[in-house]
Amino acid sequence: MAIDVDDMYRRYGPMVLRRCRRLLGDEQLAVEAMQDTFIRLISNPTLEDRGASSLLYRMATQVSLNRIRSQRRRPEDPNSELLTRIARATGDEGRSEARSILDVLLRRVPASSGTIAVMHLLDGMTLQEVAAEVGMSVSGVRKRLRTLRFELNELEALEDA
Amino acid sequence: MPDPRAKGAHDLAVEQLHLGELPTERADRLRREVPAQRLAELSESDQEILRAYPPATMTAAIRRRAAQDGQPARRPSRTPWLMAPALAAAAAVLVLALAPRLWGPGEPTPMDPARAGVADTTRIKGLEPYLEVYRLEDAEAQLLSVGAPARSGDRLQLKYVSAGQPYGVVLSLDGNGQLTRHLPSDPAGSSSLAGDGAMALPRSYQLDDAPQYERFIFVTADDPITPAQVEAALASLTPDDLDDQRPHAWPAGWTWSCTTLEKIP
Repeated sequence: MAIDVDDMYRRYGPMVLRRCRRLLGDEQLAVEAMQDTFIRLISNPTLEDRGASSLLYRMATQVSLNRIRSQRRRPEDPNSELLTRIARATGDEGRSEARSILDVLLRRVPASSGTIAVMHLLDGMTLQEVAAEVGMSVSGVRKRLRTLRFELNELEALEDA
Repeated sequence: MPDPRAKGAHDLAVEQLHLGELPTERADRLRREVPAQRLAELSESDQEILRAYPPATMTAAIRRRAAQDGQPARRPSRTPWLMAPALAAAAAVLVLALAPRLWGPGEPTPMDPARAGVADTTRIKGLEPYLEVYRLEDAEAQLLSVGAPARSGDRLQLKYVSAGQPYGVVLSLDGNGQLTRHLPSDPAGSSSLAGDGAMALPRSYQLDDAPQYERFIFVTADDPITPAQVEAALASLTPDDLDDQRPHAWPAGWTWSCTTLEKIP
C-alpha cells in the first residue's frame, strides 16, 4: 500500500518530532531526525498507513540514537550521557540499521538493543511493556539488556584504561 | 532514569492514547491515570509543531530527500595512487562516517532518472548533479543502483549529469582506502563539464579486488577545480560534516554526490 506522506506527517509528525526533541535536545537535529524517520517509513511500501505510532516511535528512537552516535560533543546532562553511552555501545547495530528496520517491518526481528534500552532505562517502561511493544518475551528483553550492560561496562573499562 | 511523571503512563502510551491507537480497555484505564492536562498539552504541541513545520513544507523536504536516497552507482578506468598521510586519514574518516550507508540494505532499486540527485546520498548543496554507473556485460550496459553488488573484474562505465554545473571532478574511494581519479583522467586536464544529459567518461573502469565497497564521489563547482583541490577539501571534512550533510568547511559553490557499490566475493 502506498503511503500518503502528507497524511502520515499530519498524524504522526508531531509525535515523532517530540520524540526526537526529547532524545536529541536540539531543534535542528530533531527536525532532521524527524525527516529521516519518515524517509525510512516511506521506503517501505508495505506498511499500513494507520496505527503506525509504535513503529514510528521506535524508528525515531533508532534514528536519534544514530544521530547521537555521530555527535562528538560530550553531553551535559545525565540523560544525554546515558543516551550517548547506549548509542556508542550499540554502534554496530547502526551499521545495519536500515536492514534492522526492514526486519522490524517484516516482524522478523524485534527492535534494536539500543531502542530497547532507551525505552526501559530512559522512558521508564517496564520490562513487560517493552516486551509487548517490541514483540519479544520478557526474558528476551532482559537478555538484550544484560548484553548491553556488559557492552557498556566494556566501554567504560576502555575509557578508563 | 525512568520518567516518573505517571507510573504506567510512559510517553509512548500517552502518545498512543492521544492518537486513539490503544485498545479500548487500556485506553480507558490510561484516561483515569493520565492527567487531562497532559493530553491537552499534546494537542497544543501538535498545533504548534504543524504551524512551525507546515505539512506542505515538511513533506516536500521528505520526498525530496527520499528521492535523493535512491540513486545509481558507477565507475571508470583507474590509476591508483598512494595517498598522502593526511588524505589517508581523511579517507578513513570518510569510511567511518559513511559506514552506516555503506553497509545498509544493499537492495538495488531501479534507477529512476527523475529521482536522481545524489547517490546514497551525501550531498552538500543543491539537488542536481549526479552520477550513473553501468556494468558493461557483453554488448549491454546495465544501470546499477545504490548498494548494488559488484565483483572484482566487473567493468563499469560512469556517466555524469552536470545539471548545469560548469566544472566537476570524479573520484572513487575503495574499501582499502585508496582514492582513484576518474575525471579529469589527465592530471592536467580540464574539469569542464558537458551540460546536456548523461555524459559518459572517456574510459570504462575495471574493479579490482578491494573489499567491502567502491564509492564514487562527484564534486561540481562554479569555477574550475582540480582533483587535488577536491582531495584537500575531503581531508578537511569531519564525520559530523558528513553525517549532518551540511559541511561547514566545504568551499562555497561546490556540490557533491556519492554513490556506493557493495563489493561481494
